[in-house]
Amino acid sequence: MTDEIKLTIDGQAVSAPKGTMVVDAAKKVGIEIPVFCYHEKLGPFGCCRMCLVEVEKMPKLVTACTQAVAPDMVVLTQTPKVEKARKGVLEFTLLNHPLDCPVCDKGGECPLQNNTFRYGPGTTRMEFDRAHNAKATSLSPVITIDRERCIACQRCTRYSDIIEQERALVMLNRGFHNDVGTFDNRPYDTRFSGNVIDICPVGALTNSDFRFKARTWDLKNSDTLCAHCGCNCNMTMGTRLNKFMRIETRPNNAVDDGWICDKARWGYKFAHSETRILDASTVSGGARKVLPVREAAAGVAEALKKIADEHGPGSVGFLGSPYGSNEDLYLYQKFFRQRLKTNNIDHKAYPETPGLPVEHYDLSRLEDTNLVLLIASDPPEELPIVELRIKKAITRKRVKLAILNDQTTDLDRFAALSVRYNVGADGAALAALAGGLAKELDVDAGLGDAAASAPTGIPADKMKELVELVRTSMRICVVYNPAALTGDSNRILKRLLEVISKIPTIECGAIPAAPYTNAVGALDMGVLPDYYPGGVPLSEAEAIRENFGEESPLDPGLSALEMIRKAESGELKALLVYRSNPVLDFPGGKRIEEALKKLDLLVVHDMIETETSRLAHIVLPSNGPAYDEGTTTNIGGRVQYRRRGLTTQNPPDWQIVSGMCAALGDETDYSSLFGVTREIAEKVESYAGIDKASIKDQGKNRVAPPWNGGPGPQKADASSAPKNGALKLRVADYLFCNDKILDAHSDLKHHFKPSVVHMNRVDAERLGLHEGERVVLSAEPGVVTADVAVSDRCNPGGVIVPRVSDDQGVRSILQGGGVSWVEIRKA
Amino acid sequence: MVNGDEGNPASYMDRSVMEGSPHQVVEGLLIGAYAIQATEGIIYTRSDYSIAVRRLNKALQQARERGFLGKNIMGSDFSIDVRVHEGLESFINGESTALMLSVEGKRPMPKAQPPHSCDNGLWGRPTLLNNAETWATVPAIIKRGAGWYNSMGPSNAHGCKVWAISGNIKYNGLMELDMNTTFRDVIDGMCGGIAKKKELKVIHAGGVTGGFLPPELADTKTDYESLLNAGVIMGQASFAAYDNSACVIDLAKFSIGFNEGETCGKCTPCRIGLTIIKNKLDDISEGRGKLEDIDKLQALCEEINVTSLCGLGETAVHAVLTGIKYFRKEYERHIVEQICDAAKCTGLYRYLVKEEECVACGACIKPCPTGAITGGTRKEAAHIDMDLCINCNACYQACNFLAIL
Repeated sequence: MTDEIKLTIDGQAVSAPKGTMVVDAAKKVGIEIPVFCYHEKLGPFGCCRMCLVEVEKMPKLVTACTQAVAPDMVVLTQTPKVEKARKGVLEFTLLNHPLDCPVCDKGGECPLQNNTFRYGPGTTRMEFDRAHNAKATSLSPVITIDRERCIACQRCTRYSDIIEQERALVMLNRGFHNDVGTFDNRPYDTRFSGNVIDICPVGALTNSDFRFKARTWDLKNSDTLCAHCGCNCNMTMGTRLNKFMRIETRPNNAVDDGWICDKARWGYKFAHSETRILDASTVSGGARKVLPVREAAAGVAEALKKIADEHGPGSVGFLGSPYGSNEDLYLYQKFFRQRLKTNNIDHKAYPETPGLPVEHYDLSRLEDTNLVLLIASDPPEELPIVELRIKKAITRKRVKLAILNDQTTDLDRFAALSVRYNVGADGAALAALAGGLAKELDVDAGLGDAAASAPTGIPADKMKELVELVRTSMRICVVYNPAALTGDSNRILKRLLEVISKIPTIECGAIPAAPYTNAVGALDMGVLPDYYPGGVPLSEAEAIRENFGEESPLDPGLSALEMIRKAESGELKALLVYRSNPVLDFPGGKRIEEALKKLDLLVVHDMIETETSRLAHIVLPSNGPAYDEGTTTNIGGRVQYRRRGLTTQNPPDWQIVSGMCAALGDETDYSSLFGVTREIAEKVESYAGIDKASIKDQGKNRVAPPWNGGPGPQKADASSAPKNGALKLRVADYLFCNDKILDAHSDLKHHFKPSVVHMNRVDAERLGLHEGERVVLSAEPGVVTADVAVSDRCNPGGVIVPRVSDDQGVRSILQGGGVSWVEIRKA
Repeated sequence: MVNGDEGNPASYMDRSVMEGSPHQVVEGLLIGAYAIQATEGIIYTRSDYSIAVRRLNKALQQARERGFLGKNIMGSDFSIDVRVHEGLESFINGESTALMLSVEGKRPMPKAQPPHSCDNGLWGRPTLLNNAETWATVPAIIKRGAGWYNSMGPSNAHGCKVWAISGNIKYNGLMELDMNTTFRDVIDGMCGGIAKKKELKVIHAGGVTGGFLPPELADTKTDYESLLNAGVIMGQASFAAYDNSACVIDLAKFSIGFNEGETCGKCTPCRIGLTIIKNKLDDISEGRGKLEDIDKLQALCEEINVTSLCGLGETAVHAVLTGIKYFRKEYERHIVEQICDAAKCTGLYRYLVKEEECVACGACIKPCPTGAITGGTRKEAAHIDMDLCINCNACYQACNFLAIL
């Protein structure tokens, strides 16, 4: 869009790109043209007739929302003719609209109300029998519809068609009897249904949870971020008297494109959950004793120091979380590295290293590529906004989608090519793709003998097609989920990216799409046993000493899984677990619980009681999202500021950790959160220039940490030979998982699902299992029960179990490291 | 694409050409498709035109058999296939953008233009859409040349047009008229004048989206511009000539009622405005009208005309606008004197007993459902209590002596 078109609006010269609508061009120079049906993201429609303007040389009034700018166009928005038309349209609109503003939730922020006051007639010329309809009926468990208030602007139905692409919400009946509804009156409960509340220009669609709780002008609104998945969508949190009220979208084109998912909107009851940890406490002799938080924090620091002094720095460890903010995680790694001299720092159970051999793409780049290649990623369940952006890219920007996954996802129906490998064969599949591309290019893929391993289950022609599709794309964006890759696949993936970047005609970028709030930030902050903040590997001793101090530890530390193994063997004496629940979420199940029980000191710093916090000797309260501020880095590398919406007595996490540092002699005084951010900007090259001013509204992209080659893939692990009759287990994500965040009090409980195991028809027949039958999945770490779903979701030889609840806890029966095997028998 | 959808109750020229001469439509379409090198043709028609659908399909089959359709037509590089799309009966489907949405399987609602369908039409591709009747004239023009066609009609509107003519005239039906023809030529000449020695009262030109012309304007020519100057449109090229038994308000009620039922409901003025106008007309025809309603109606109609999205809302109000323009007196008579001269507005009926004619037979008392009639026996003339009367007309039918008015 380089063609700028010049036109005149109300005597003002305006210049706008070709294709811009007059209404948007006018907005640029501060001229407001009232609209109801038009929405920037939904495109022109022209049904409400509110935006009529006069254009010279046009015989009739035209709608400014459907009229694209043209050279030398002269637009008049204030003429008597226009004003008369606006008055007339508003009169028509109001004729059928009940004036129940005093009891309407939209009152105070209602476009109809505002436009009527500004442009409307004072009275009406007509008495008229209004169309009557049932007042507040439920459109879904979370959305209430009042069809009397509807002005039939069709924003919601168009949203469902164009943005969400489900066509779930449609216009029923004709003419005067137009109604918004769903087929067969089914509940409108898609993953993104809540956005229709925000775009409704009247109070027809309201948030059932927020109904009658507060008047909008009494709300205190904080511009915050969603803290669920890795997209970090922007949103506004409305609170009143320190109580959570509602969430609304806050458009940011670089991140969420103006939408949020239902989990972001209604998944916030945890802010007032009954299981929140509100006090610091210690356990001595079986009894819990409450302590002042700062005192407890200092005590933790001293206790850890004592153990480190007695048993060596290798005897203490830190298990962080991809949910913590950059500041908290930075301070924690600083505390452990500089004060306790250990590199036993990690935050995850899957292998991933900072840095990419290709450009780290922003989420908005999904739309200006030619091909999006999804690897092991299931955006609808993991990163909903990525799903919307991909759908938009496909349908409106003619981007192609290729999928390489071990399971069928909701996006498959949009894919130009969908290739499915066997469960657990991700490494082999990636190696085959990299090998295929390398062969075409006549280069060495650098995979050594990793390429020749297990069968992928991909037909040769499909793989050839995929290689061809990748090779011929001009610009490609690879989206991969590191948490869904097993064994050494992460390293193979990086090799694959290297191979793609060697194709001279291709511009390649990638998005490491782990579905956790600050997964990228945790890598950047060096919450890793072998990397310092900014992706500096331990081998760069010089740089580390210079930047982080002469005494920085340089021996490789233990990874999360290794720490637990060492705890089991008694070599690790103390562990601090921050916002993580390894007992449930890490592979190993019961074994982890036993290992943690052997520790001399287990400190858990978390916001909600977990299976792990119940084992802790000292518990520290973390305020968590909604109460704590901080910066996070989303999967597109964008650093944004998450403000707090609610206040609490407890100190924020960064103060707790800096208190720990101070207790062990650190003299740095961070006056505020942004004092920590400033230190990060100084110490971490890729965060240079990130400060409060630069990220406060829309955030700012950090520079990707440098790619330093990283370790090459190793020979495939041959130890996990198939057991008799066992199947390979893949744990899939489910967006509305009934966990500690979306508990039984959640508004989203209608989305909760029972435990299900998806298996291929071939395996079901072999095992004599039928649809709906209850089975037990047993593996070495534990058992899980589930209902059989015979489907084509995965290839024979594997099963897919979505993680649907903490009670089910399917992640704990994974075996970690490589392929996980389960045996299945009838319950 | 061929637009063979007719929702207007008074027109059937597309139907007649599709039923009577389907090959002509197909040939026209092929010529047009060749001109723009189209690769796909669609004939859109209503599913209730079952004969047309059958004959069109047969015509297409015959064309395929003879190699006029399909791959490499008549040995050329040009290939096209044509199919018939049966739409459901809805007036709004005739609007070009709504028609394309209907083919796409979506809810037919007109789109704002631009972009015009020749840039961005069916499935987002450039689309050429014309009426079945238009396509049917193409072969003749190609064969005889543009000069022949241009020789007909006035200088600003060449050619001829098929009109569907109905009303209280002796002969009605479809007639193909040179655009120079006036209404009077048609009514008095070809149609044999008004039936039963009555007088022409109103010409309803343009179908349900058209308007009314008084007899004084019967000399208006039937070309686009003359019609527009008179305040009506050609619309679906149908007109009806009515005699004194027609009531302008009753006719307007029919037109508005039809449009109100057929509006898609997309844009506000048309959706809500037409319903209000319908209610107002009902008020007037049932004796609840007020004099200021006439001006209100006029203002409302002008607003709908200016602000609505597609042609339906824009033209639907013609019936009321021209009615008020040319027959304001009739509106006033309905409101002030509460009399409908054509006796069409049943809501204005008042029942009076002519005392000198009444023989007090009592026949009218029994059928009255509300007991509004007293007397009527023992030589006392009947009396109707208007407060109780519900205008059911039962007494009128029962009276054997034409004593009840």
